[in-house]
Amino acid sequence: MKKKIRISNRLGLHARASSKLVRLTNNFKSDVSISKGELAINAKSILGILSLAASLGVEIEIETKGDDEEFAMSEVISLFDSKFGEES
Amino acid sequence: MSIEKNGIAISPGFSVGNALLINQAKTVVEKRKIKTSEIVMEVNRFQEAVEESKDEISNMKQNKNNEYKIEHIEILDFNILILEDEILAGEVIDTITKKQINAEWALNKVLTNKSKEFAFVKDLYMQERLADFYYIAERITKNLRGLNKNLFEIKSNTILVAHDLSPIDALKYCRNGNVNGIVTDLGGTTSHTAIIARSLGIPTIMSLLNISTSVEPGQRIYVDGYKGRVKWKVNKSEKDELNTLQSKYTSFQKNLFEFSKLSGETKDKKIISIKANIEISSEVKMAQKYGAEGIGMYRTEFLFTSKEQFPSLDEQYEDYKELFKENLFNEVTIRTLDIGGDKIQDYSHLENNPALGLRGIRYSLVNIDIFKTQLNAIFKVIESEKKKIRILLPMISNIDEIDKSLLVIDEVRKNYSIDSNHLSVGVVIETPSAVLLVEEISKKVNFISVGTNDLIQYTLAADRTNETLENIISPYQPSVVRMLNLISDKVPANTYISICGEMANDINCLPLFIAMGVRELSMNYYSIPRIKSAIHDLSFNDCVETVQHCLNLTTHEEIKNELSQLIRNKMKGYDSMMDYEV
Repeated sequence: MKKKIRISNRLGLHARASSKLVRLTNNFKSDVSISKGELAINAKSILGILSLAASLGVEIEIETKGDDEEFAMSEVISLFDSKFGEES
Repeated sequence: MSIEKNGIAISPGFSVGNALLINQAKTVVEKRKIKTSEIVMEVNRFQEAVEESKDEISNMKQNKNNEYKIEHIEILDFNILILEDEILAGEVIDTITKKQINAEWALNKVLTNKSKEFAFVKDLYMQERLADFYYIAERITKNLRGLNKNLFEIKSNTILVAHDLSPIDALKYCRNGNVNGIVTDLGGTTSHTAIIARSLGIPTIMSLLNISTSVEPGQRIYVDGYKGRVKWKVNKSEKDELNTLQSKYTSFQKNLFEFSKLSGETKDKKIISIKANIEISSEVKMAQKYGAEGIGMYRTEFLFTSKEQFPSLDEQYEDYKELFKENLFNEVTIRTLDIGGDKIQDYSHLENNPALGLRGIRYSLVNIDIFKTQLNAIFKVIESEKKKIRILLPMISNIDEIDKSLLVIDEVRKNYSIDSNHLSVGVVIETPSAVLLVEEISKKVNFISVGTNDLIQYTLAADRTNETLENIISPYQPSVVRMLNLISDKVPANTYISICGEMANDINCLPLFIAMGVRELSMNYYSIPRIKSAIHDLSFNDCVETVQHCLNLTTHEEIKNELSQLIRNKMKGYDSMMDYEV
């Protein structure tokens, strides 16, 4: 399944946020990928996410594919929604 | 088709060997082809090194003694994530398998590509994380080494091919005598690595741009350290040509070595002592091999700047003692620290113009403890080795500096029992001011040594490191020739004059020095046989005549023509020699 969102945390997908995301995505059986424009990356790879260089306000598309794709999607979305705990 | 690259000739000689590719980020990485049968083993080796690196970082995290802040823990976590990254590991394993290349190199290659991908990321914080990649690469590389320590053994007939080579690595690799040549992308004549390569007599070429990415490991490479030319992938006919060149070089060398055994004697029996300038004490061996009759100048700057701190008395003592190893020489000349504000780690006193700043004797007299330590080490060596040392004081511009220096020398000397003829003190004449005072200076010291490099720079007020001034910075400038003439006119009879600096090994300048009646020339050891052979073809009278003529000329081209004409007419085998002009 696919879902488009806009990056809403101030620092974007920087190292700390990417670390959190990778640790989360590696718990799922499903493949998780994120694309920005033409560029699509494996969201289980820290290097992949960093190479996306997604900053505040950028639109990205998340795709989950596999047995637990719905669960994976909702978890990933809620991490983005929580702004990676940045502002707390 | 053969491939050829030209760079800066750093250390002379001609050699052939097999390329050993080494790359230097912070750690040195070598490139090595692996067999199909070795792929599985190489992949395992990589994976084990990654696991080991992960364990190390996890242990760091858990170590109770380290009170890590939350940011530090996050960085460690980030590093672990990179190590666990499937993409990274996947690409490295892919590279090992497809390119059949060793794990260290594959890792290095993947990370270099990754860092290029990240180069466009403007975020500063993210940019800084790039440093973590290298940190991780180093850790994995280190562990790869630990798993297979034999990887770094240097086979015989090796040509080191590197992007850049640190002095420490140069020494490490060349120690077992299996390195025939060094070629690098970066570096220049005055780099410490260049100094070491010359001291070890290894043909070396630097500034070859992308040699390290052009050559394949194990490739047969031809290094011409005279012309600064590297060749590889040569075909049969070129190979024959190069072999002919090599044997021509070998016989040329043999001839030169015949000359190295001669004394520096002109046709009409005037004798000039030919000595070597050295930058590290272990160079004495090469100096002796090339026919040096002594050390005319040991520059101590490398000793002082190659470590974080200045060397202690004991360290200096051990180093100076090396000069007399194997009894190669009975007398050596140590120039006291000739360091300028530009070379000193402490940048609190940055000078606008270091060449005209607190350098040489000026620095020593202000930092009197450093000066005294150096003198103590020198006297200690004279005392224990019972050998002769000449102390050379650099950058003297007035009499006061000489008086003050001599007082310090006397004061320190009192603590040692030294035979009076085992010590002499001289001054480098390298400022126009010292030239004008040379009569008085000569009366105060045992000898003078004309430092031509700086004398040219200060006479013409032209920075010798400024390439745009190349035309002005010429030893043939009328003002330079007249400066030299002034020195020989003013000094009292029988003053012992030595010449050091690049002019000493410039064949065309020889007539100037012979006519001046200098007693000693001190130069790079590898120029010695050539200069000795040239002296043998010249006579004092010929030189005086030519130089008299030069003193009336007004442009450097005219003077150069005049001098080189004499050399061309008098020197036997001039043409074949010029083939290998250093």
